[in-house]
Amino acid sequence: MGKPKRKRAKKQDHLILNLLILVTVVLVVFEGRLVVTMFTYRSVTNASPVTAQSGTSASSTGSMTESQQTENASTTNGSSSMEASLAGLPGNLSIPEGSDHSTTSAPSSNAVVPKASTPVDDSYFSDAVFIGDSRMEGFRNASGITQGRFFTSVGMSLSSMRSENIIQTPDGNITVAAALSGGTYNKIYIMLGTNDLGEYDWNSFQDGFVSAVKRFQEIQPGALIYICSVIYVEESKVDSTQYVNNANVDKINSILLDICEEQGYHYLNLNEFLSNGYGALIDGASSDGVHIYPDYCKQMLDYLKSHYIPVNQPDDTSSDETEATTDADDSV
Amino acid sequence: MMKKFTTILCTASMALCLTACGGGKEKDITVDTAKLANELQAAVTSDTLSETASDMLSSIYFFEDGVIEEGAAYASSGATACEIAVVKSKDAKDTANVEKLFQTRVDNQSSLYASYNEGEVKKLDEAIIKSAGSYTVLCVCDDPDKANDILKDYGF
Repeated sequence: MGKPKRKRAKKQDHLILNLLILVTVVLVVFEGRLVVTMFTYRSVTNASPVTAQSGTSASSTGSMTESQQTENASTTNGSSSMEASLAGLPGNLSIPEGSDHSTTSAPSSNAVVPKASTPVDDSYFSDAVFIGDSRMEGFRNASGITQGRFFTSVGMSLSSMRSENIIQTPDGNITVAAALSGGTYNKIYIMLGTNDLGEYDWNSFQDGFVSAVKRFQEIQPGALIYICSVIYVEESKVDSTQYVNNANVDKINSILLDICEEQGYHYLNLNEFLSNGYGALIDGASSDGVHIYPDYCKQMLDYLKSHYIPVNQPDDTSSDETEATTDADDSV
Repeated sequence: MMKKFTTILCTASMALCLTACGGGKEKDITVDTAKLANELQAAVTSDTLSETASDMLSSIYFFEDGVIEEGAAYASSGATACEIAVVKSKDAKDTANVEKLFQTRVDNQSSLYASYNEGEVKKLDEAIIKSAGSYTVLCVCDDPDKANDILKDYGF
């Protein structure tokens, strides 16, 4: 009579043991991921300070020689490149979602704006202009931001930003350049690229982007230029995954980062907090896979408030190269 | 006698016409703008709209300084053209201009959405722009009939 009971007790012990093992495995997998993300976040925020904080000019950021870059790349090992991807920084190669990210190189860069010790308030944006697509428009609508001008348009692409009448006014739509000429701005935030993910002539994109921003600098000489990374997407919710995918987001972000390094612009790595840790938008952050929910727009505002170039630090990126002009009707 | 009767009839008709024309906009009503905007956004759109900071209203709708006394607006995160705005003008006479600005907003949005997400243009075509007293409403949504019912309850 006592044997079956002992057997049952043994079976229960095994069951409990198996359950414990399962729980341990789950904890190791998920917590391990959190630990990796935590460390990579630190590695990004501890990256070399950007121009104004280090006292060096932004143009010197851009003057990082090719050999230095090669040297940096050569010291990059597989684990650090994975960390960079987990931290939302673009790699130099496109990374398909779900890949092991082992082929990317670490893009630690002086152009990435690090977290400031003290966040600013909305008044920092009083002389700022935000240029961008529907994602930037969503940020204006949902973040709770109270200051700054927004020249945004649904569907804005590099091409339309340069030449089409897409910015709303009481008298109809006008070009971004014309809108920009209507005021004086000391900071220009640009969020562009989502509608260019199907652009596979990346060299042409890079040249066009630089040309457009230089035109903005002519209109607003001396303005700080902030380039926002293209936010990851939730591929499972996107219709046009043949080009709106995270591999292309990584590719375009690596181009934007290159541009920032070369031109002395300041790169805002929004995927630092919007990435799920594996090169995609956080699950459930968006209804359609592209446009993020209000809570994340609010987080984006907090991010911008804590990632900025102090205004008392002169930014000499544009003063030497550009001249003021009032020719508002020229397309960029 | 007949001539006198005709004159009185014409005068009475004119007076009635004038009263009817002005009646819709010069109602003396009081609306809780935040409550109405919130009620509309909850009932007439499937999109998740969020409240836009009131400081941003002038730059979105191009109200002139000092025209608007208060207002509330809800807008999409960028996924759809849905939006709701309820504003109170300081002077009821300004509602016509506010309506015009709302219409300009709808027209501008329509031309942009035509090449971006054509499905949203229909919503913009059916946009509701209405005034009552000092209040003006813009409603771009999925269910304009329901929106009109709600607005009717508020005196629009």
